[in-house]
Amino acid sequence: MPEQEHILIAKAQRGNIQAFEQLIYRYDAQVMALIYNMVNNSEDARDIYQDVFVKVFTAIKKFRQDSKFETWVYRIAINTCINFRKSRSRFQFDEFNELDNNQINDNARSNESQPDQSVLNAELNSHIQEAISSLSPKQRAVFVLRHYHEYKLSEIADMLGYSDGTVKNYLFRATQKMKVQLQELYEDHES
Amino acid sequence: MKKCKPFHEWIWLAAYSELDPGQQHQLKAHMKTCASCQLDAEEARQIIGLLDQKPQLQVNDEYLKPDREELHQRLLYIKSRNNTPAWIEKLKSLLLMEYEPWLRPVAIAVSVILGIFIGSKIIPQFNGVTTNAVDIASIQANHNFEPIDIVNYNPTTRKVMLRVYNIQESLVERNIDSPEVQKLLSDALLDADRPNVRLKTVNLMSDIKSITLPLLDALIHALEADTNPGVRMKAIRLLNTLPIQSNTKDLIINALTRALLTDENSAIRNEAIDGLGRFDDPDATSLIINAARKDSNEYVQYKADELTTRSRIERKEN
Repeated sequence: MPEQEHILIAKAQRGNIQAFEQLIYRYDAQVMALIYNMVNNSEDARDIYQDVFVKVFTAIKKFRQDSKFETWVYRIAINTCINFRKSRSRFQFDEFNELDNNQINDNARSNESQPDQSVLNAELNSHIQEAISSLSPKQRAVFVLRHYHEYKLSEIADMLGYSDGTVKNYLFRATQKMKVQLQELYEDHES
Repeated sequence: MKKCKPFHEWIWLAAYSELDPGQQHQLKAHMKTCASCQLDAEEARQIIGLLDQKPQLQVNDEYLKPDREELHQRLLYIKSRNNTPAWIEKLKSLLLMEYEPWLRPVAIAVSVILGIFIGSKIIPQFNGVTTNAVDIASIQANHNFEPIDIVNYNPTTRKVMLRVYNIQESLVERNIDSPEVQKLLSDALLDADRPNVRLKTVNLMSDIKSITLPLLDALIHALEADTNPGVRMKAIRLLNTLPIQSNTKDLIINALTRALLTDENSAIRNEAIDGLGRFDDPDATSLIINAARKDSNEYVQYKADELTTRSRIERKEN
């Protein structure tokens, strides 16, 4: 209910922690998934989750409700991820967290009955991760929001403060980069 | 091929259903006659299908439970630090003129006039530069003076003004880095009755270029013995920002250790963990590990555990 969200925002702006938590619990699962897709590492995602919501809490007094609360939170989350990646150059894929990679691959395996297929899936996943990691932070943000979180490009433009044209351009460049990265795999997959 | 160029981007936008109807119509018409673009569109569809196969992290309430709990602790901590009374918040929003920006200049002018008026009534002794200035050496020679009751600092001129009682009321004004002032500041830290004076003293100490050992001792004493948690908090934060030097390292580690083991305030123990984390010291590390297991406060436990894990990971990476 939008009214209820209004009330929760007003209460949170007066420092009511309970209202704030009620408010953010509506979005924090999606935000965590988004952060994870941006950084590919669950430990770092948890750290960024804390940073994001502490920022939201300290800045909520300045939130004027010109935009949707959800959009505003996502904007903070994306900016925090971009800054985090800037400050931690180790976020390149070549140092991608082995543990997480294995964990996801294990999950992929557990869903498969045939061992050969599971190995293929794990490899495919690893290639996709690598392709996504090769994107610049902004390209990655636009791609992840569009592809995995299914936001429309106009919403993403609003979220990131870019024009529609810029967002389209980021998405196109991201797809072209990944196309090159996944070419071999795509051909294998086809055959 | 040249005529296909504008359609390359459209093919991908169409795959994401992001083309407007007009563009969609144009693309469709072009594709009917262009085999190369038909192939591109098929390729886009295949690659999007491939990307769809990336497993997504399953985030549910159970997964988020520890994060939400940690966040809750952090929010409580932030709120306790920023717990400004409601009337100050109202005054702030009034002064910032959040609702009537055109009134801002008037509000600022009124505040300045009121400030000068109230200031001149409450602390007339600070109207001039230095009234009744005295020789600091003579003050220090005679330790029978009463505690310092006013400390004022001007960061622009880097001058400190202290009101000292030495038979009669005296006002001292000197550069913040002078050893005499540092001596008086350590007296203020140890003896001033008003916590506000002790707080101000710790605050302005962060501007001193090189803190003398006696003043560092006084700071450590404040951390260990001051009855006001605000003063202890400021003292430990200042200690945590001091550069690590061989002659003061042990002193600081010991002080932080005692704070971690004995201070009743969990926020101060948290700061102690931060401070100890700066030192590559085995005793400090084992103390932090111990705090992760045994501290009575969950957030302190978490923080200590986090620091231990991080340093373990960093060591592994190195």
